[in-house]
Amino acid sequence: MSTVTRRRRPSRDVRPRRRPVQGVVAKIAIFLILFYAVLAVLGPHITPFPPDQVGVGPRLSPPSADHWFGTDALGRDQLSRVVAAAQPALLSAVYAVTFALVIGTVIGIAAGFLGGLWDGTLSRVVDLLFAIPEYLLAILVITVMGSGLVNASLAIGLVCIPRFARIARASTIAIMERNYIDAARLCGRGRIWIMRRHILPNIASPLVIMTAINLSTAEGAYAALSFLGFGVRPPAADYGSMISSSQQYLLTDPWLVVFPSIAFVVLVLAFNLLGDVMRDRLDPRSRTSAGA
Amino acid sequence: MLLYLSRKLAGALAVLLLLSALIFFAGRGLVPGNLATVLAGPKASPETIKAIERDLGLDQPIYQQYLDWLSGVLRGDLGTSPFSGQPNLDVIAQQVPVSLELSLMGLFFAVLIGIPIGVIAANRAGSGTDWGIRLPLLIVFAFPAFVSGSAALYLATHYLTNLYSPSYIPFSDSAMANLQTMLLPALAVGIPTAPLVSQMTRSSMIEVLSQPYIATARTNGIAEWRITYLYALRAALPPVLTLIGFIFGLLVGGLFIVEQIFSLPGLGRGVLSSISNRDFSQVTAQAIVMAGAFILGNLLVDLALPFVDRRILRK
Repeated sequence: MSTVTRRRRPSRDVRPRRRPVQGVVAKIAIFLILFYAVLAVLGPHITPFPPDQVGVGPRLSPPSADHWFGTDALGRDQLSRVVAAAQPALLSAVYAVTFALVIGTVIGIAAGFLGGLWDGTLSRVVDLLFAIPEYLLAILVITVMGSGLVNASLAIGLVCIPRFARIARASTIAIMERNYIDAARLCGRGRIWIMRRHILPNIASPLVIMTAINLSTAEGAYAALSFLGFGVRPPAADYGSMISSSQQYLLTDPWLVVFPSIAFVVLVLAFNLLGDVMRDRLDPRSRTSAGA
Repeated sequence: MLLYLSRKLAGALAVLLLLSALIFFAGRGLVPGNLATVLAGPKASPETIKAIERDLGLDQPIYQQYLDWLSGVLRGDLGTSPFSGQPNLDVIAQQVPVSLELSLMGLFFAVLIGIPIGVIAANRAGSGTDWGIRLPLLIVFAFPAFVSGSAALYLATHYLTNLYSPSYIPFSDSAMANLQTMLLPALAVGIPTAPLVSQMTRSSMIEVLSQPYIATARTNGIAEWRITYLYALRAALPPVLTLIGFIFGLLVGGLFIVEQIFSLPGLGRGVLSSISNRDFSQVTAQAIVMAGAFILGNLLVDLALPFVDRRILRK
């Protein structure tokens, strides 16, 4: 019997012990994200050189006292470009996730609350959207709308909609049988009022988790699209396009790839950590949609 | 069983139909302005333009063009590119094996790495080591294919010159030389995907391990490795399998990037070059093949699920 009790019982009962680690991880993640946010806001004002200015230094010089991250093939200062790239990186994630959050939540609540034909139709549409390979969908959308920061972000947002819609619908259905919903109905409250005042606040926590998780996937997806040439227009810098335009110098001047890669990976990691901590904190079951 | 099968099949067909429309119209959106005018060149006479329109069926209403294209696709005719004059099927037939091999190898590595790590993490869930296992995974997950791929390419060309050969050789020509080219790209696809598999394995295993029948098995003195790998893992597999279906979609994205980095002549790179050539005919053909493969992959996973867990059929 003792072997049984000694077994590590997973999940719920041990959670409190995990808190201290979580606290530190959460602080690091939030600090990093704030750091990037400051760079994004102050970006153009604090860079040592104008980020898009050609020939501020020698071509392809390795990191030095003048150019900490070296210079690229056009003699542009890499440090300035890496700093400037924080803005499109954060903006793309915020645009994409906001778009997906708003549309997905509206679809999800409407499907869950109205039920019947509404639910059937909306759920089918969401299922269809979910069944399309993400990058293929995003690239097709960009093909039609044209590349650029906003269009690429919206394409990614479109891809993320089903995740929000599904979780919003499931959470709405779960609280539909609560007494206060019936009470509000008996009081003659309109459907919109109930959805806004009762349902939305009560399904907020899974949506917050979903938002945190999707910030990192959206940022990764944007960088990937930008790597493929669908992101910001050329003279402007972002991590994906910097890495892709430095590919040909990978073997001779690896620092051109290294610095934007580090900057990008740290940002995605911060979003990932934030998402993980949020999930552990807010999700009572702590197992939905593992990292997806 | 039959009902389950037919429902899954109908769903897959519906998705494919919707996608075909999306792909067709996206392809048309690729060429700005009048297609025939673009094809004929700037100095063409109105008669030439008319002739081209008639040849390609562009004088028909757009929905008619879509239906013609769709019925062609259903009969296995993917059309001929008006830009290169090559049948699209021939081009794709060369690209598909490359992408298929890359994604299967990538999936293999993702599963090979992800499932054992997930099982180990589940066994130690809740302890301090849990974060110790999850943190490196999250770090790996933060490395997208285009960063890890670049790093792998750099390391291989500098230090492991005999491990990697940069020029692609078909498997049928020389299996060894082919694997030499594909191993590194496959790792670049597989390793960033592995954390997803291990996360899902971990959480699914945790749930199964807390079931009463596992405790019963323990009190009956059944060896711990038997419980973990034979009883629990089997019961924990369905969500992992579903995730693997989902991963096919991620692999499609990985293909675009990894094929680009390693200059592999696959479908992903093909789509990108068709887009930059504005070859709408080829891009629609490639995209529909890609979408079909993805949906087929998901369908196969759905069909395999009842064999792992019969309870699925009762839902």
